[in-house]
Amino acid sequence: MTEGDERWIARLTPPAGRDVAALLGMSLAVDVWERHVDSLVVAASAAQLAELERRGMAEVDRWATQGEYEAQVRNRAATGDGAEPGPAGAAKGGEQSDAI
Amino acid sequence: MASLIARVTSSSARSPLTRLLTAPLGLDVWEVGPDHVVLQAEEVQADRLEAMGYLVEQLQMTEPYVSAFATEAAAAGYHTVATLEQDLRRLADGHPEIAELVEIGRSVEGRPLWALRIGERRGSARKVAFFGCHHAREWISVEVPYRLAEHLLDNSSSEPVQGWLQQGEVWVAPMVNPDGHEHTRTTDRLWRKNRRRNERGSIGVDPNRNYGYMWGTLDVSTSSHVPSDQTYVGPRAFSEPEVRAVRDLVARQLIGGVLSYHSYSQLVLYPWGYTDDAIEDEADLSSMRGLAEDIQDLVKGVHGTTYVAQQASQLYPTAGDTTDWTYGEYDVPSLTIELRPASALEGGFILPADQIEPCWEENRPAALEFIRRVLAPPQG
Ligand SMILES: [Zn+2]
Repeated sequence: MTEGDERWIARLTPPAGRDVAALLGMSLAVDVWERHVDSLVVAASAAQLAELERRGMAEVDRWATQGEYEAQVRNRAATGDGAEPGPAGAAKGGEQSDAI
Repeated sequence: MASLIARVTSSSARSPLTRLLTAPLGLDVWEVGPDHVVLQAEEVQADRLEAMGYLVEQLQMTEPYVSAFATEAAAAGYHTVATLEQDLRRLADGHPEIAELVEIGRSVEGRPLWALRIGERRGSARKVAFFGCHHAREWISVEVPYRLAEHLLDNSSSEPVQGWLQQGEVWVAPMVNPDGHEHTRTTDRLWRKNRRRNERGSIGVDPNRNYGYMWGTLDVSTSSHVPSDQTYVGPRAFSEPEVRAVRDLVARQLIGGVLSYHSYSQLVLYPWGYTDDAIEDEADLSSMRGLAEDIQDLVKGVHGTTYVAQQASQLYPTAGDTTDWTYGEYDVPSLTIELRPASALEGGFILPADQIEPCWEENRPAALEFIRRVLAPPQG
């Protein structure tokens, strides 16, 4: 696997003046997991995220690689502790999410 | 449609990288480095670049995460393709007078697609169907409809279930996408689509974008015409055998109401998904929105969990999904329920197995209410 190909779980925030609906209206080749009022949670390759940043389409907050994320979630389930995948603030502002 | 992502380098003066950026080659350049360019290109374009003296290295779009899921699934209390078949067979064998296991089709890789028909007689006038696991990674969406089938059979001698099964039929197909589910268990836990081998090497069509109502009318991240994308709609409506199996079941049985389970996010979604416009028919809109809101209340009443009722497109735009098709084509009550959890922080698609039971418990009265409404004799 090359560096640009590694998949990440990330939060995308549209730039000032653009909204989430506009971001969803584009063909971005990202896997949308959650929709929030002011951001999306997605899975996408490092290259795709870098491209979104380069084009100024979204601010990208990388939480974890997919592998790290899976390990964190499974570990949390196994130990029953409250260790959260991703940053502590990741659940804020969330009304709705995922995947029809 | 673009076919591959490639890293292009050059060691030859006759093929400078700058030329890639200026020449009218129709390339979609993603990244420019001092010694390389990353771009998306058709295979023929990539071949042409090589002929021009460039070194083209294809970057894989995804890399399977080999893991211990194979044993984890069974240990964790989730069904596998094999244990689901065993359990469905056991349910049918245990209640031969009212249950029948029906193969409604075969998957891309040839796995049988199972539906349990529950009802005292074949050919009842009123029928309702529940589907799970259009999306491979949404394991909880297998467990809720499976437990519904089990509940109906365990309670088939007492009211209200007995009455329903005397006058109608309940069809339950807990795993529409077994190939994808198996792939999540053995190779990549977060795989979404089926296992169709697309032209030019990518794999998978999104079964919940492949239905034939307003199919393909959007081309966005959440409903895409790019084969490598997670929401690839497929080359044409009903191109996928899993989706044709559902279509044929709904069409042949004249199913009168459809509830399709997904995860995650805790939502109760009613049509449309393909447009922000509301359903035009006021009576249909008020009936389906009312049912979705009642389900929201019924779920909350069990463990206090919040599921939000809303039009599907408010989540995001989707063309070719199951419930747009069943409502658009057959005008029957059609809902999608996004099950637990609420967020990626709570596990997202990887819902801890200790949540299967509470998730089923909170969805039980909602599923029973859906059956009651669909099977209720027509008014007047
Ligand atoms: Zn889904």
